[in-house]
Amino acid sequence: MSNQIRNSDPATKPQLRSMQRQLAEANDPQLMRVVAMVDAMQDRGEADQLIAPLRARLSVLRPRRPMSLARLLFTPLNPIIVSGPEWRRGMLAIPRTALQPLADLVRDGAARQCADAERRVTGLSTNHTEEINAIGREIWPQAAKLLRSSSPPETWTEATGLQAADFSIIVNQAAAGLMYGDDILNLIAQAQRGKDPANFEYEHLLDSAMEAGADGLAIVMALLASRLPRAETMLIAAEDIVARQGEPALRQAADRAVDAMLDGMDTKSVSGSPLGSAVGELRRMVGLLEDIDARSGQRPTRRAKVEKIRQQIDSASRQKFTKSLDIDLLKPAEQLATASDQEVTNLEAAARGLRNFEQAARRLGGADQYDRQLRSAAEALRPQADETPQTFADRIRLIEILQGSEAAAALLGS
Amino acid sequence: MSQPDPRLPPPVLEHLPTTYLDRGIAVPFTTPQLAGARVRPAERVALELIVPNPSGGRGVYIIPWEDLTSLCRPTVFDLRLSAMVNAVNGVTPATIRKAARAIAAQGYAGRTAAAAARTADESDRQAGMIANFTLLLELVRAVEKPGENPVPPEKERPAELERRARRAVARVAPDLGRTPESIATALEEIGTLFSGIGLRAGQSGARLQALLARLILLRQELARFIETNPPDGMPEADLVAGSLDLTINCTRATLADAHILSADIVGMLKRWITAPEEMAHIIARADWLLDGWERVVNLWETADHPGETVVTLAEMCNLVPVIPRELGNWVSQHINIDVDITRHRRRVILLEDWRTGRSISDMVARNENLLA
Repeated sequence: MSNQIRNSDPATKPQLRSMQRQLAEANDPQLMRVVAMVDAMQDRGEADQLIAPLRARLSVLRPRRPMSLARLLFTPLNPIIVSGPEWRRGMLAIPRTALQPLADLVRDGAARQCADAERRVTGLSTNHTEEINAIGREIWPQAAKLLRSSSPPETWTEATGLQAADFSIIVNQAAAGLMYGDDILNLIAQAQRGKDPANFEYEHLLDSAMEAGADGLAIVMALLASRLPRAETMLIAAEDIVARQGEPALRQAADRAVDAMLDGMDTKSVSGSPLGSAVGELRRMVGLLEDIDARSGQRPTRRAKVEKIRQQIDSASRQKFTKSLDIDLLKPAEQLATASDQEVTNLEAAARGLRNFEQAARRLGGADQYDRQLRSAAEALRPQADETPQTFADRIRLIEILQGSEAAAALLGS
Repeated sequence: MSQPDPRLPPPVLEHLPTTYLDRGIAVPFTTPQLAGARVRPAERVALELIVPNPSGGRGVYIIPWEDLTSLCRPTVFDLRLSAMVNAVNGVTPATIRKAARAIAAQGYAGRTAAAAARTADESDRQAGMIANFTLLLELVRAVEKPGENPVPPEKERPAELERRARRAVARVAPDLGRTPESIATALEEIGTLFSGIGLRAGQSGARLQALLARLILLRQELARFIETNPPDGMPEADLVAGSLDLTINCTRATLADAHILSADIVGMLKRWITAPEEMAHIIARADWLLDGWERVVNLWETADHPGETVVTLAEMCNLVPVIPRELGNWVSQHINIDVDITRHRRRVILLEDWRTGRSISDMVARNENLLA
């Protein structure tokens, strides 16, 4: 595959698209292997394009990727990095094509520190979160200052495909994210450990971020919302700050951040990913929608937008569930009587994934549909006559996972 | 006295057991709400269920065993285990372990747990055979006169060893006032009793010695964690480590007591004939001491990634077995536990993040993996 995808001959473009389609259908381990293969290439060329459409899924899967100086520098910005063609002015986002030129600027301004950081990240992967953050927090604020004071490099337009005027916009956003990167990551890590940060902790960070102007507030809000399990406390903190300051620019910035959160909710991360990796992202999006909705009482336009996105994700979720129930569970379960231990374990994992998925998805609607489908699936999995005790137990367990222990226990006596 | 309102949950009670039987025996339920549950005999009902306060705070629920379903919706595995435990004649760590393995082997905690249950049964059976074989070797060594046989029993051919063993049993039987057959049976029974702890220290294949080694490793890893002065999880790690210190020391002491018995094979046989229950009790002490700790160490060993450490520690903290005062009678000749025992009779630090965000079915799956 590596030789095929390195070739940038336009004649291979259809081939590339075909491979992208295949990769979209690949399961998680297959996708991880392809990413590892691309990362191992000396000259990645168009190989990057192969995985570009799958970035939303990769952000959920978080495959282990080798660290480099550029990856270290922009770690805090990861959730808002978009592809070059996708980037538009006004977005709270950093185009991927700008990363290397920005990294070069930082390297020019802080050669010794960058060399030291580069040496320390050698051999680490993106999974070494604690080590990366420890190294990164020493260089992110300095990188932010360097970027703010820098001018666009001569090769900017050629290297990025962007206009010269885009430079200051991108640099300001990147600098704000880097300046407060450590604080952002700490609050997110705290929330992910189950300890939701207090209102004052968010206020303290957002107050500081305003030193970088309205854009600073917006970018920090967007970065927080991209990873927080729940965002309501952060949204309340932002509202309080905006109300206290009374500046229209700050209100607009906060609105931009919320709009960016809504615009960032891509149904592809539900429909385009295997169920197992879609659950986490679905939960996050549902929580974020609920939180934004809860803070939009007097904002009919925003509520309408929330409702529209809710419907889109609801629809995508129902389709995903129906498809996955059939493909991942019911079809393979037809061979349950002869299934190996591993195949049964996979079926149970699929059933658990479906249950987790519908529990998140039903918060958007469709409870009746999910209940009906789960009942129907349980009926299809019902124990059959003359099966071995092991297959009987396997069926009871699948029904238990899908419908609960009462439904399964009822079959034990029947 | 007025009847309790069945619509309300049972009252939360302090649980400061005096004896190990009063503490109850850990039951490896897979329903998350039943984590840390124990069973014990009761006066007015056959068995009682003791469940830690699900909030993570102090105290426990104590209810009749049959009322299990009033607390939560148990998994099918738990329902079947509960029924089997109800039919058990005498609850001990051994009988509960046997019941749990029997249900797991049927596949109701998944195929991995079923395979693990079968493997564990087979390991115990083999450990019993090895213990029985070793006891026979000891008996041959003890009974044969010096120089009677130039080949040490452990190097003897199987057929000849069998002959020498039969001869040793026949020689010792009259002195003990028993038939050779009853002595052979006694050796088998003693071998079974020792299968979990081994006949001497350092037998890593013995189940409880292997568990003790894992607990020592856990203690070392907790020490390393505490040394990093982490922002979260320090009090929980400290509590688990402190309780481990006491448990490890006391388990070593009770194992030493049991191993001293096996050092004098003829004396041990005499004791078995005259006071079998007392001897069985001494040998089983380590099992009672370590009861409930396997789940704690399994949690630590199966934590997915370093970020889970704090959440795992909080969960472990809630499962740390309470140490009853009876321990003082078991090991007071070796260790002064008066200071430590008071410290570890409290339940846990308030579990702030008891809601980990994980779904119930994921938690059940994780709990099933702990059986594997």
